This record gives sequence, C-alpha cells and structure tokens, in this order.
Amino acid sequence: MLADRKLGGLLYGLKLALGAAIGYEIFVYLGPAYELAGSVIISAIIVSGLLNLLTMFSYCELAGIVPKEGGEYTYARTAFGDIVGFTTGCIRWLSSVIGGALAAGTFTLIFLELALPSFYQFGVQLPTEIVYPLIAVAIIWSLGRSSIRGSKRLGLLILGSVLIFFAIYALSGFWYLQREPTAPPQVLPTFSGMPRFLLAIAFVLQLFIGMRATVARVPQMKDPEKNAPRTFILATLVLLIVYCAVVYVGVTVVPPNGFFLKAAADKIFPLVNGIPMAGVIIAVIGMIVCLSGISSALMVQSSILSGMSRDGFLPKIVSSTSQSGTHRLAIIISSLSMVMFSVVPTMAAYLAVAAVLLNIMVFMIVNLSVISLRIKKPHRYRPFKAPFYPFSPISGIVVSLGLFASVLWIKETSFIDIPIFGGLMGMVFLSYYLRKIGLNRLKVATGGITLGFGGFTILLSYLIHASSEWPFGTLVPRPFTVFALAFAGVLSIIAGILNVNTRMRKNWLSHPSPSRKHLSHLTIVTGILICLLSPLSLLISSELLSIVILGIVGPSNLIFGVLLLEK
Amino acid sequence: MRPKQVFMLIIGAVQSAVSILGAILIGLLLLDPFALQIRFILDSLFLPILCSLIIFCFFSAISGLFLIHGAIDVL
Repeated sequence: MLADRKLGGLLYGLKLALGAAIGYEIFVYLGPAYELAGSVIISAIIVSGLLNLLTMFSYCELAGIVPKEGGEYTYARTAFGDIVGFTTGCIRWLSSVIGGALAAGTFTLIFLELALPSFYQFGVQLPTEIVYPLIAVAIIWSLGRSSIRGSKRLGLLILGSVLIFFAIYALSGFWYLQREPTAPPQVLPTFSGMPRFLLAIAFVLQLFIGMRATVARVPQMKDPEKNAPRTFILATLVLLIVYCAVVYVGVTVVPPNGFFLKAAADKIFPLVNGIPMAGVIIAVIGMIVCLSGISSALMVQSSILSGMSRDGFLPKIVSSTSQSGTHRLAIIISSLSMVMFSVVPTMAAYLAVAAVLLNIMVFMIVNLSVISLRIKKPHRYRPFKAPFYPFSPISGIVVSLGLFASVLWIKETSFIDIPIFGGLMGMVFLSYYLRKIGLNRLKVATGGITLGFGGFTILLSYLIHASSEWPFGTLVPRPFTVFALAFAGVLSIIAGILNVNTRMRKNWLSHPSPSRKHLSHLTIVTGILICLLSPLSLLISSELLSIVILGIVGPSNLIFGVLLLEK
Repeated sequence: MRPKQVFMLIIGAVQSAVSILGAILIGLLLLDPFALQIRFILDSLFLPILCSLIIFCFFSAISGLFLIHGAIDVL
C-alpha cells in the first residue's frame, strides 16, 4: 500500500505545496486582477490565501478518509454518490483541461512576444494565426509524450529559481522605492469597489489553488495530523509574503496593465542592479512555469480519468497503465482535449473566466463533502481533521458562493460562459445517463433513430428529384443533392437495421429494465422530430408528397418507439 | 473475421464518415453569407430545418460508430 510508505515530513510537504501552487496562474490572472481592482489586489491576495487555506484543511481531511486515486471526484462520490461524483469529476477534469490549455496558450504568447522581434529583424514575417496553434499543440504533444514515459519533472529546480527570482525582484523593488519615493498605494477596498474586489479575489485565488495537488500525498506524510496543517499554513504564509511583496512593488511602480510585473521589472532592474534584460528573465520564468503547469494538468487529468474508469464510468482501458506505470490512454485523451481548447488564441479570455468558475464550484463541493461525511460517517478514522469545524467548511462555501456570484455579475465574458457552461453540464448529465442506460440499449435506440432518418432521407431525395423548384440555385447542385441524400438514406437504413437486429437486443429484451422506457422515449421523440421536419416538403414539392412524409415516416418511427416500449 | 462483421465494419465506417461530412456541409451552408440570403428567402423555417438535420447527422454518426464497435467487439 502506498499509504503505508511514509515519504517525508514538513519540508517534503512544503516543497510539494509550493511547487504545485507556483504556476502559470501568476501570468494569467494577476494582470487582469490588477486592471479590475487596482492596488486593492494586495488585500485580495491576503483574503484568497486565507480562503484557500480553509479549503485545504477540508481537502486534507478528505484525503485521509479516501486515500484513493481520483482526487475531488473520489471525495464527492464517497460523500454524495455516483451522480455528484461523476459531475464533480467532469468539472474538475474540465477545469484542469482549461488550465492546461491556458498554460499552453500563455507559453505560446510569451514565446511569440520574445521571438517575433528577432524574426522581424531578419525580415521573416510569421503568420501568428498559424504559428500560435502549432506551438501550443507541439508543447502539449511533447509534454504528453514525456508524461507517458513517466519522466521526472524538474519541480524543485523550477520552484527554487522562481522563488529566488521573486526574492530578488521584491528586494530590488523596495530598494528602488527608497531611491524614487512614491506615494503608497491604496490597499483597503472601498464599499463601492466591493464587487470588483470580490472578482479580484476570485482571480487571485487561482494563484494558490494549485496547492490541492499536494493533498493526495497527505496520507503518505510522516505524522500527517501535525505535518499536514503546518505544511499548508507555512506554504500559504510563504506564498502570501512572496505574492504581496512582488505585487506591492509592481502596483507602486506601474499603472494597471495586463503584464505589469514585466513592465515594473523593466523599470526597476536597470536602475537598481544594472540588469537590462529583467523583462526577458520574467518571460523565461513564465514559460518554464507554464510548462510545469501543463505537466501537472496532465497528471491531474489522468488521475481523474483513471479513477472514473476504475468505478465503471469510463471504459476500463482508460485506466490501463503503460510499462512506466503511467495511464497512457488517459494522458492521450487529456492531451487531445487540451489541444482542442488551446488552438484558438481568442478563446483565452473566456477560458480564464470559465476556469475560475469551475474551480470555485469544485471548492464548494469539497467543503460540502467534508460536512456530509462528518454527518454520514462520524466514527470513521480520520488521520487529519479540519480545524474549526464546522466554521471552516461553511465559511469556505459562503465565500465561494459570493465569489461565484461576483464573477457572473461583473465579468462580461461570463455572459458567453453561462450558455457554454450550461451546455457542458448538459453533456455531463447526458453522458452519465447514457452510461447508466448501457451500450446495448443505446445501440437499439440509435438504430431506431437511424432507421427512421434513413427512410425520411430517401423520401426527401425523391421529393427533390420530382419537384419543379429548387431554392438553392447553383449554390448546391440538385443532382448531387438527390444522389447524396439517397445514398445517405440507404446507408442509414442498413445501419439502423444492423444496430437494432443484434443478439444484444435479444439479451436486452429478455432482461427488461426500467430504463428501456426512457430509451423508447428517445425513439418516439425522433419520430416527433421527423413529423416536425416534414414542412420542408411543403417548400419544395406538392402537398401529396408532404402528406406521405407526415403519414408514413414520422409515425412509423413513433410506432417503432412504442413497440420497443411495449416488448 | 466473418463476412457479417466486415459488412458491419464497412457500413459503420461509411455511415460515420458520410454523417460527419453531412454535418460539416450543413454547418458550412449555415455559415455561408450566400446561404444567409437564402435563409431570408425561405423565411425562418430554413434555420431550424438545417439545425435538425445536423442533429440527425449526429445520431447517424453515433449509429455508425456503434456498428464499428459491434464489429470489433465480436472479434
């Protein structure tokens, strides 16, 4: 058992927590948060650090009770059952996919900003709309490959170099401020600025949130009851000091802008210690932490997918391991998903807000899981208990709700995110429902749908052939349309029959189940849809043929559905 | 591999490919500015019809994939 092998104490935990927390989020969220809230971003950092700490205690308690692969998915499933667990797993997986895509996008943007001027000097014009997705895909692909091979990450080296650089940055900044005195920035929020302050908290919370990746290791730590809270308190303190110092320098020296840390570095470093390329150093560090972020995202996603596969929500093959002990297929699926989100640069703003919303939702579910398990399983052994229970999880839930509301209320992009988010949630519930129905029953249902669709398509083809009018002109050639529709219709009918007429159907009919009813409903709905589609015939042909469609194809699909229901 | 499996595999592959192609073509028709003019000519009926056809293509593609899965599963 992994849980029996103790890996290390406080220092080990601290290294893990800081390594997981410091990532691409600094370069994605700090700038917009500064633009939104101004210098009160410093207070926002302190509040979000404390909120994160409270939720980390909840995470630790859950990791102690359920020391299994899958993270938040496993916790929520243990606390609330299959449907909430599956939904949480999908939300967490999606937030990780978006996070990885953002990291790839940020890496590419920084790289292009650094590299493009050099290309221009040599007279080479690079089309960014082509280069951007190519670089993003190449980065994800190469990191996905190295993850499959199980190569060791340079976590400690990255962490050390980033912390040393930020220490130099902050010290140089304070020295600069002594030489060039500036009025101290306003750090406390005003009442009128409260909504923007809340939004800034939601954004800068992402700077701490990566710490949760450490939680899975808590049961393996020496003396977890003492070392886990100390680890998270110390890590939060270190991060608070580093972030507050660096951001204080940045907001004092430069006005709000998207990449203010780099702008401040360009101003401070040449004057204080003669480093002319400080902005370049920041950019390089940004690229390194982005690479680390993609790697971590791949690990998180493969853990969730294999956990869901273990519990039967995904095919067993997803949790199969390669020779190096990594989940090869899970990593490939995750890499492809990240590629899908990362190839369009204009999506970055929406993705950033979507990731914030998803992460806040996961925080709420984790806190709710702690309360639920304390009530349902009060006597279960807990290697670590969240302090100040029930105030810590309840305050975590309340603050998360406030942050969620503030993001939806203020951020304009959330108006686009809401329908996308709703659609994604719909897909999650649909896939859960379909999974529960079972593959064999689904085959029969889609077979019925395809059969009806095939009949309808052939009739449509005949109608177009026989009609005297053709509203599409030369845009869509009529003979081609007739042939294509007839071909698709025949194909659909054959596929429909093959799907319905299988041995599996017989098995299904001999083992009736309540969900068969829902399946048959699906086929009936298709019949209704065909009936609704039939007005198309009114546009292109005589009334008689439209009656044929209305009278034969749609109702026959309906009858097919009803027959399935009755058998 | 039995002839029925080969048949299922071929039909499934062609079915999925045709459905995906159909969905893409209908999608392009929806996005094309010239098609937009046609949409006005045909009034508001054109858009829901094309959207419904895309949904049908989706089901059809799934049906094809199920056939492929069925053929491979038996092997």
